[in-house]
Amino acid sequence: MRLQILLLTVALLIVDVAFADAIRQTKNEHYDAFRQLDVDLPTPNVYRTASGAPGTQYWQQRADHSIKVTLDEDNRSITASQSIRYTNNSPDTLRYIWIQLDQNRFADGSIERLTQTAGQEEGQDQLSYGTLAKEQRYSDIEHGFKIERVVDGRGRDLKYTIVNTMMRIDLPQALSSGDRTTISIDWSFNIIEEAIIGGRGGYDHFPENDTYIYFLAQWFPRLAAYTDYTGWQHKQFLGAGEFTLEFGNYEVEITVPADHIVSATGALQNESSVLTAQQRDRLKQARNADKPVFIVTPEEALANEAEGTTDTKTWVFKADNVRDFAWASSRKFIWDGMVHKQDDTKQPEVLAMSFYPNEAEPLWSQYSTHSIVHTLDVYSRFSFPYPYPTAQSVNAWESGGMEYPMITFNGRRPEPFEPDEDDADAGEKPANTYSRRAKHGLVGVIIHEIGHIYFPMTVNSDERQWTWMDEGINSFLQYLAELEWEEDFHNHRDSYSILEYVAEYMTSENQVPIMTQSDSILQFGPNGYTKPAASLVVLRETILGRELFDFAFREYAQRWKFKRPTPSDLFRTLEDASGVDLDWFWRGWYYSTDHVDIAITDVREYKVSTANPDVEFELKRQEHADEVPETLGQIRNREEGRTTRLERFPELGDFYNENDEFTASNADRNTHTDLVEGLEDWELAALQRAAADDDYVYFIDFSNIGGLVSPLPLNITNADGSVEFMMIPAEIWRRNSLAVTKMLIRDEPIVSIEVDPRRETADADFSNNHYPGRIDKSRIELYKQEDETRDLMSDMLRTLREAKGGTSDSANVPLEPASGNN
Amino acid sequence: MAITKQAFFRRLGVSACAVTIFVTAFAFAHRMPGSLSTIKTNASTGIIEIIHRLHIHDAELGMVVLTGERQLTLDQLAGRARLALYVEEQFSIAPIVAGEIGPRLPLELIGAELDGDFVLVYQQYAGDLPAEIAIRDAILSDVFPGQINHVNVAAGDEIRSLTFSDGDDWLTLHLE
Repeated sequence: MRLQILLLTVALLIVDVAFADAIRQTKNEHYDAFRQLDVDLPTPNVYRTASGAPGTQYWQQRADHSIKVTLDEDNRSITASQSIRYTNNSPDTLRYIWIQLDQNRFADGSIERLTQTAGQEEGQDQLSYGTLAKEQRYSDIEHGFKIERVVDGRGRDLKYTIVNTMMRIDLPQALSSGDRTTISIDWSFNIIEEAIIGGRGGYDHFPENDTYIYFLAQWFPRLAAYTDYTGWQHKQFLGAGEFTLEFGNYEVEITVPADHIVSATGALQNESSVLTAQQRDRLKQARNADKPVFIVTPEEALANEAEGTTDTKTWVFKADNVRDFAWASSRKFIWDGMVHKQDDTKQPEVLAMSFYPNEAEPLWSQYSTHSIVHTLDVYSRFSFPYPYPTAQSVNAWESGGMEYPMITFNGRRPEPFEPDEDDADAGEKPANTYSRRAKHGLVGVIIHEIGHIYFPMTVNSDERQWTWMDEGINSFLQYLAELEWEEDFHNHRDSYSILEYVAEYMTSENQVPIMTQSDSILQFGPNGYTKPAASLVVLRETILGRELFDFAFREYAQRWKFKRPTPSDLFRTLEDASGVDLDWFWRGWYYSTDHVDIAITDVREYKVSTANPDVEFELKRQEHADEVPETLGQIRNREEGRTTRLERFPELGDFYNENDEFTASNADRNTHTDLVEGLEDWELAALQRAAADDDYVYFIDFSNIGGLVSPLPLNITNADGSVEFMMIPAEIWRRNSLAVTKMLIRDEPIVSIEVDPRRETADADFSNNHYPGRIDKSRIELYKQEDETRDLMSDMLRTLREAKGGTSDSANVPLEPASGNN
Repeated sequence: MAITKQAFFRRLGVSACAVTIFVTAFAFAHRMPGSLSTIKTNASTGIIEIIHRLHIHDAELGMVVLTGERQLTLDQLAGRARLALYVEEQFSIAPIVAGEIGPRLPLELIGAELDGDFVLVYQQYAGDLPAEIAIRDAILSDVFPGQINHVNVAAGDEIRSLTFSDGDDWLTLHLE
């Protein structure tokens, strides 16, 4: 039965593969898990080489921006004039260019809004308060870009066509390779309230004191990318697939109320006109400080937010070679900063800064800026020195995070501390502070978002196409940086937690491969973040080892810094630089939905036979005696003192009573002599040595249940109690990816074998990893064993059930049938 | 549409109830909210064990939205217990009898604990899983518009999956 299922699985696999691959296995069910990816990867060319590096004629477009923007706080809108200088470095002639209008995602008639589907619960139509409030806001306020004017460098109107979140501008004269053109656009839009509409930017309203934080992202018409692999990347913005952007220099003048503090991509150009002498002095101190220094203190911020003004100030920022620009502005901001020094001639010092309201204290002044500097420390070691003059963390919202060059928007505000009933050391903690998880949450989100300044802000992968290329790689590095922040961060037990979770997900029937376009991913978190991150943990710790992985990964980062890599460039570079064929790894983890589940199905123990009947037959007699116990009736007869007829009549004995089946005959001896004479000298020597060594020989059967081929880390426990760790590379599966047998010769008998004892392969089922078989307790059984925890929980559940009575926690708006339809 | 709605009110006896809190659409710039539930028979005890795995962050925010208590945290036993009770309401398994969804299996709520970035909610059922089942998994889908819930059912050597999104209600599975 089991075999049939296995064969069926194989057959299905082959059918799938047969449809997908140009090369097809048509005669039997053999699946080549190690087949090279060559036919599946794009053909190398002058832009992208077969080694995964940028080619000799690699090119990318360039878009320099200069923007003057004004925040209208009363109307919560912004108005801007923008000039874009676009350089066509491609070999192609362009008759039009495409611009991204991301704010149009929120406009009436947007694809995203039109294609949102309604919910049902228990057969009832469902309308959440959130959806209702959002719809009301949409009907009250018009969202999306209002394009006032599009002109060329000489002020002549340009024809433009808006296609949802994209805009095509027709050029009066085609733009030849190597040429430049300038386009100016005047525009405005109403800023969304992020908590109501949901987005990556907007404003955050504090109703308690009617104050605001503005954080602007995807806020200006941005050039769509034009690439060698897909032409214009103008796939519509539907909310999930993030951004594909071009590098360029930015100069942005931001006019805001005079009491606002502004944080933005780049470096501030006009300190003297926007900062007080005291603030300038403190900023100077921060540039030399190895701990965060306040530029605006909590008390000053509190006083500031209580006032308000009708005056304005204009903050000027410049940023070189960035792919985007974001900014935040508020009169609520506390501001601190410190320096990050690095071994780099271009950028020896980086100013790390945080901006946050008093509502984020005391968590933020303690951890935000330190988290930035920690990220720069760790990420630079794995990739390249941080390439920009500033790195900023802004508390823009209550939760979540979002990244832009040099600036990140991060959530996590503290909640008043209440001790956990089952937290033993709760008594030592002061009141009115934050939980351990709030701290780890903040440090984690800042590491993640600042980390994105490396991937994809500098290693500029195509997010609209491949979420995993930045989110997966960044989640992997975030995990490494968290391990280096403090031990047992987030209760990470080494790599166990992430690999355990990903294994559960990877067993799912309906999932998609990692190599899936961003908007089509079914399970965004596990697929775009966790699975690629887990795969890189396995690749680094288990398959390549740290030395090879770190070298190859750094090579990838440095090759593609300020360039646009595709998945094949990553796959090829990691192979090229590590010297290890990883096609099986990419095929299994990135192109398939297989999971890792290796079972140890049988172990057979042998001794090498001398083939000499006088030696071997005696051994066999002993073995037989050990294995087949004497008949119970015979034992009891003897105990009763009953004698056999043979004992009473010895004359009944003959040849067979004197010789059992284990007695060597002359015929046996002759066979042995023939055997020995038939052996070559070296064969005889090997046989005699093995017999003298008295070795044990083991044949160990492994079965690949999950389909994804994996290395076999083994713990082998010997009879003397010693434990030996052994790593068998994944290539053991190259001729048969479903079942293999490994032979081991040992001078000690083996008593047990365990596959993946360190839990490093993402194996989904450990119940089949032991020989002899072992029954592990399930998670729920382990939980139930913790009597105290369980009792406390049971009491709590009972109390809550009783207290709850008939009320419901429903988040749904009560709906009544419309009148007349009853 | 309204007629259908009323019919359902009557048949299921669901009372529409108002909550005073104002639920806002929390958006995630990044990872979308989702949960993963696994249903598996414990080979040694024969009990069906159900583990719901949620990101702590999503679960906590969801519970804050649902209860209107901004201070609710899963660091505390009470917070975890309330989440467990909520999950119990939102997740059901029922046999399919003669093509209709039968009475729900009485799943026993065991508890909840934190594990790294995740919170796990445990349920169990001392009985056999019927061959034809319907599952309802509305965990946090009443809070986050983009919530996707994934259920893996281990049936023999196979894992069968259901994905709940965009207001999916009951989904069915035929187990071999």
